[in-house]
Amino acid sequence: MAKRFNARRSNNSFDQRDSLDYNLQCSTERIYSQLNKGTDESVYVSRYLKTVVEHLQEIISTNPHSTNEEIKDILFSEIDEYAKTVYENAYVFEQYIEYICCQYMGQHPDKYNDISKKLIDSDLNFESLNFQDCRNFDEYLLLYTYRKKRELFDQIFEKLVPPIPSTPDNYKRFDELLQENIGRASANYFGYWFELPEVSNVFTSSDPIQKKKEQLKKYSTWYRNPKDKADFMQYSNVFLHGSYSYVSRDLPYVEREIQKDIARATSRTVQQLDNLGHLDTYMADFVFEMSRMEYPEFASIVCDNGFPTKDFTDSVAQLSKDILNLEQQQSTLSDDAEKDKISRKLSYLKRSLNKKKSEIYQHLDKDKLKSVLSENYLNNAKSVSIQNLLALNAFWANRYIKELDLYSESMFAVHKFDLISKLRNNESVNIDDIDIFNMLIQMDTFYGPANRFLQQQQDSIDRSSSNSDDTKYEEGDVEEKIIRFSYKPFIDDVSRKFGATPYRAEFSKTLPNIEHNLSEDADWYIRLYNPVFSSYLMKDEMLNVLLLSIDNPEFTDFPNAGIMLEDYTGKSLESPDGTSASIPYVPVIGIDAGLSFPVRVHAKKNVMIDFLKSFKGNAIVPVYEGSSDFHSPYRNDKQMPAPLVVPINEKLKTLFKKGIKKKENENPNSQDYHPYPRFVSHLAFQSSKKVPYHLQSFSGKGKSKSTFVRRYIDLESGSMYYKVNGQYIPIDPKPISVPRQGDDEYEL
Amino acid sequence: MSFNKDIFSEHFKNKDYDACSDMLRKELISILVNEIKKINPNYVYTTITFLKSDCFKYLSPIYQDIAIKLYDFSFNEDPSEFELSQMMDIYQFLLKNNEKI
Repeated sequence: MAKRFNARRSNNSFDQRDSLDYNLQCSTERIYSQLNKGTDESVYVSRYLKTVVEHLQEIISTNPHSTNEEIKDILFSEIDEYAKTVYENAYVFEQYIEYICCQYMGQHPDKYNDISKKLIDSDLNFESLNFQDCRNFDEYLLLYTYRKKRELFDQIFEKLVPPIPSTPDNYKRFDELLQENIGRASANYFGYWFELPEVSNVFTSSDPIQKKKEQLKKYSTWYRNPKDKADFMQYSNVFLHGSYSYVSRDLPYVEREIQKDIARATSRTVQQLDNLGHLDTYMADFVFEMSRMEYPEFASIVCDNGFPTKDFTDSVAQLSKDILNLEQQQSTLSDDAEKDKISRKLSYLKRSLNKKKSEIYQHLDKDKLKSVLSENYLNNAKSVSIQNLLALNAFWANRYIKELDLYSESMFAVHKFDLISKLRNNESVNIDDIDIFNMLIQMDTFYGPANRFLQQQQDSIDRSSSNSDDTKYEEGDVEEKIIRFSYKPFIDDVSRKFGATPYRAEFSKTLPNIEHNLSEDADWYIRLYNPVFSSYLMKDEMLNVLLLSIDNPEFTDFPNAGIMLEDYTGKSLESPDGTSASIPYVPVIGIDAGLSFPVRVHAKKNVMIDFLKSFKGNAIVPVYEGSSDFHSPYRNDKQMPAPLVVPINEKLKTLFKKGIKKKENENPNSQDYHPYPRFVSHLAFQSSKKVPYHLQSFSGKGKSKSTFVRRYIDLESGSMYYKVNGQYIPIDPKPISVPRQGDDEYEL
Repeated sequence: MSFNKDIFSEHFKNKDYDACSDMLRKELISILVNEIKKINPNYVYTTITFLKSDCFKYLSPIYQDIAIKLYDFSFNEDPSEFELSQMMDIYQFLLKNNEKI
């Protein structure tokens, strides 16, 4: 493909970062560097544009009398809807940190006392602080404790006459103030809420605590409604024992709220991915992958009944094996004629395999997939814990972030190539890849200025203490999580800095037959880029949540989660003696979260190190064991992709239960034989809690024990450890014998 | 600026652009932190997210822009060659203009 631009290095320096030249140079460099890495974004855009054009055609057909401007407005409101979905996850970090703090405080009453004392002297401005602003665990706990005391202050001292002034200092001193005002506060509170002002006498009496408890219990029997009774006891405990009793009982409420929010965010994200036209592809890829791994039962969870049939699976598996064998054979040949012969055979087989893949689309049952990812199901399924949900949400949100990029590029193409008019005039909407490539360079020219503008907006919102608005939202309305601002300052600024005439002149060279109106282009760009920008903020927070959860000892649902010790080719990164590993610049976090597939998230190592060190003082994280279980023979032993992830249902549990017994070295006629048993037995580990043989650890006496021992790695040094009684103990070097293939065969 | 050019060159010669990027990132972060320390001597670096917002709080737009770029590189999945080239531009600019900005 001929490129009109050369990847050039001009003399533009960073101090000219506002200029058109500098931004064009950055854009060109970025796109060429992607191309050098084998990613030609224009090909993806060109492919996805077909879906977008179909959708656009649909809009035009249903609005035959609308003008182009009106159609554009419909597109803008759709863009806004897609943007809003990004914000569904806006509260997850806050809620999760609250959850962790609540869980931690519930088990550490001494720490609560300690933090309560520190709170008095702390000069942090808790009224404008969010969990995102906290820089270490103690700050999280301080903010959490402050909020809980403030909550109680508002509830208990409300309507007290004369009032206790509502000030941050008084919130911090809630327990002290409660004791100082126990008589009037309890008479007021229990009188107003429970019509029992006389309960106050219990708190002010000099009776021993046991007697007071008995008296309160007696009063509680006055309430027949269990909720009223529970409320009475909870607030009696606050008056009797102080705020800690409230905190330690807060967990179920916090759990409920976070579950509701994540369930909603996940199901809405999945719905939007469907609206964007991606679900069918994910489902087909999944069915194809599971069919050739010879697990039709697995594939069937998103297909209509009876599909994939045995014939289909056998045929896909056989074609895949034949292709694999031929490719291996071809790589050893030197004779060109022989190579050519094999190439032709390969081409035929690949076509047949693709035909099989197309067949899958006729058998997909999207409702099956959507029902197990619906808000209702995720909210109520007993088998789906908060930990499961967090991982599930991370998977789908990550997907959405990636697709949003493609969507924004394709919509920019709709604008630049004037596809609305072309469709209405029945003109061809085919666009050459080279034009899309040049359009991407043009589009990316806005990246720097737009990024700076949005960061400035974000910063001023973060700094503003008056960003709380009084609008009342319906429960679950995502608008509650959004602050809107005008894009006009950006459009004006970039128009001034780039200049309309130089802009037009520059891009008329590469895209001569289309209009280059700077302010219109800037308007489309900022609308499309804003959700992408926000998605990175969410990704940052989501990564922090995952890092905290994979090493949370309270999270028994993540027995195997951590850094995968292999590179992108599937090669193990462990040292031969097993004491260390080299961590790539962008490692993968793997999580077995009781779902249909492990969740994998890429993140930059230095970002993880910074966060972990600020949070807990070191960058030691667990290792994800058994990543090689998911290597696919059809992908040069690289990781099998996870096109979709769902909570496991009874059908999958049964499959896993059977799968855990299967081995590749059994007699092929035996029921216990399977050519690729490891990934299913690995998945079964989560649901059955039975450690598969290849993930078991052995005791020092050589006796096999069905245990799973976690290893840990310091992301900075690469040294590996076991954790014994909360201490990290370096792993002893093991004798070096044969080179290891995976990272899952280790011994104590 | 205590950047070890020999080690950097060695990585560059070996085409280990990830290692080069990592070194430059640390160096640029340390430059920003030192600038903030001139205003807030007790300042301690924690994460790139906080550094970015602290640059908005304490420093001039040029440093804010550098922080934005570093933040961007932390979460974008751009090829390391591109990241490196951008960071080298910034670093060269800082070396040349150290006194002026």
